[in-house]
Amino acid sequence: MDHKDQQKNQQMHVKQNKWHETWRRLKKNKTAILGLVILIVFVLVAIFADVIAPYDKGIKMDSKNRFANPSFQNLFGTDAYGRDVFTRVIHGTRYSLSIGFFATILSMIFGIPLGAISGYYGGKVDNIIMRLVDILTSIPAIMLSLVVVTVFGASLVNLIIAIFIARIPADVRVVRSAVITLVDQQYIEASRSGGARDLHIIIRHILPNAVGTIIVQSTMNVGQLIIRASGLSFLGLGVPTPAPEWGTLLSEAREYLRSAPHMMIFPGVALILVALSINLLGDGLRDALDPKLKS
Amino acid sequence: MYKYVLKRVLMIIPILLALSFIIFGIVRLSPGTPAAAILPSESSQEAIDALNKELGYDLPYLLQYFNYMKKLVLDLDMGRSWYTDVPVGQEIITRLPVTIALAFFGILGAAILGIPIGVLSAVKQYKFVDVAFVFISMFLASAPVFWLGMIIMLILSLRLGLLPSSGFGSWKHLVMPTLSLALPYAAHELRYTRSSMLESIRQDFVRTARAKGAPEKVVIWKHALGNALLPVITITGINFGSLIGGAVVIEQLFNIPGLGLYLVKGVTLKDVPVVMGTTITLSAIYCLTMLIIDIMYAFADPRIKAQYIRGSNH
Repeated sequence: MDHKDQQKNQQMHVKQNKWHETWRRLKKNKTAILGLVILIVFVLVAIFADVIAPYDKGIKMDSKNRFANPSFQNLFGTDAYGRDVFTRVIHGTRYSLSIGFFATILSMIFGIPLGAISGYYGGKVDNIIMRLVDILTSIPAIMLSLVVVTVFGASLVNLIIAIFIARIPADVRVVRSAVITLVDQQYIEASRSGGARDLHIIIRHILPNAVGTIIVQSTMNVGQLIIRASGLSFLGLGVPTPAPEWGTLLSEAREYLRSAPHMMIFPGVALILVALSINLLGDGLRDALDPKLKS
Repeated sequence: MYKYVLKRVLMIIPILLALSFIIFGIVRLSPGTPAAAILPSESSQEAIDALNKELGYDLPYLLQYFNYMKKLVLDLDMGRSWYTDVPVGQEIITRLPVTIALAFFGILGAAILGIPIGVLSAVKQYKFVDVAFVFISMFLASAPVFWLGMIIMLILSLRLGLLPSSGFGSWKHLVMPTLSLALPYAAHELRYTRSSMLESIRQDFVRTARAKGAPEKVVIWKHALGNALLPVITITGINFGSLIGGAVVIEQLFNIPGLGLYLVKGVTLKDVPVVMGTTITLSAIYCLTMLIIDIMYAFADPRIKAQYIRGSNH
């Protein structure tokens, strides 16, 4: 084993240690673990939705069995068309989780490079990017989303576009501020004087150290974007019926609030549980990744 | 200090121009022309082209934007709705007070609920009251506004029959929308007040106040809270954008004739002048509120004030 390999091994070791340490701290945080467990349950529900509740029951209309109250046959009752609300909520997990997940990824695809460039180069580039971000943040997120929906129409894909675009500015800010704290560090200086190119420094040295911040921000994003997406669906501007997205289910439930409150309670509770679990996990991750911030 | 205020006020002009430019630009991407939407579907191509020309739709993009802004600034003219033909500006002026009232009472309600409970929670840290409120606030902060609204409507109106379930007119109509809007923000403010207070009550000046013999109530509510309130002001500002979003949804749920209801109808019908006018107005209000909060903050925080005065001397 030559010197370079040894160094690499050592680096790997440090890296593993860091994640190990984070996990150790996270494990101690009971609420964060509760969040993680709830979230894992929902992810499993999304994956095995067809096994838990075959979708036939969620689309088959049954005029004799409309607005049925929760029972053993229909755990969450039935809706205005006699469809099984339990099945629809279970399958809605797929929509909500994937909307939150994909919108977060897309927003980070723009947020990470822009934030990194802005924070790393500073000066004019930073100024231009940040002024653009300022302007975009001066438009409330929902306005931006509504304008996008007006132009492109309401659909699952457009909903994801509408919410991820409105999220980019916040992500750029977060990544930028994480990068700025790293730029002045000595190992960056060392790498630069060693002749490394900017791109290499950003990818190999800066971003790996900003990963903690990015993970925390992404986790929080998933929760917030799921709620935001459900809001647009509730307005009838998100995923169109008959898809069982939770916001759409709640929008359908609105008309029958008096006669069939079960139609709104179960999708709402599912939505809150997912958002709550992600918030708890995000808080825990932030504390675990940076114990200094906790106080 | 007035220099700072003036600078901040002037800075808002380019921001307003830029945000209207962006909204105008995105909306212009939409397929279809205004005349095709206004005229009945069997109209001839010539008639459509003529009307488009009359509306200035054949002009280059920048010129159209310029014309739009000129009319908007000079006589609050934002064009006419494609579907109802009512001037958008007029509609906005009648609906704006409703939305502003909703947002104002929402913020007020959040502060009235969130700040005192946050203080209480901090004073009783880890006691039962604190744990209970922290738990409730976590739940509320994760819940979508419209779901809370539905629950409140179900209980207060449909089950207990205390309040009218929808519409607008008396104070009774405002209670449920305000409450549903305020609860999530109250939860945020509770959490921020709590952590800010926890920091504040451990500081020296609080100990000094106690040592001087000030009653505990004065120490907590005057000395400690006075100092802890600054971060809470910031969080109110940061949350104002999503509060507007919440107001849009709440107006829909309770059928309140504000800007949000108008906007959502505009989006559903693809009524471009309505969407443009409303989003630009609401964004402008958002910016102005942020500006006011920033200025308030500068006045409230002696550190910022001092920094600025020192900065301007150089």
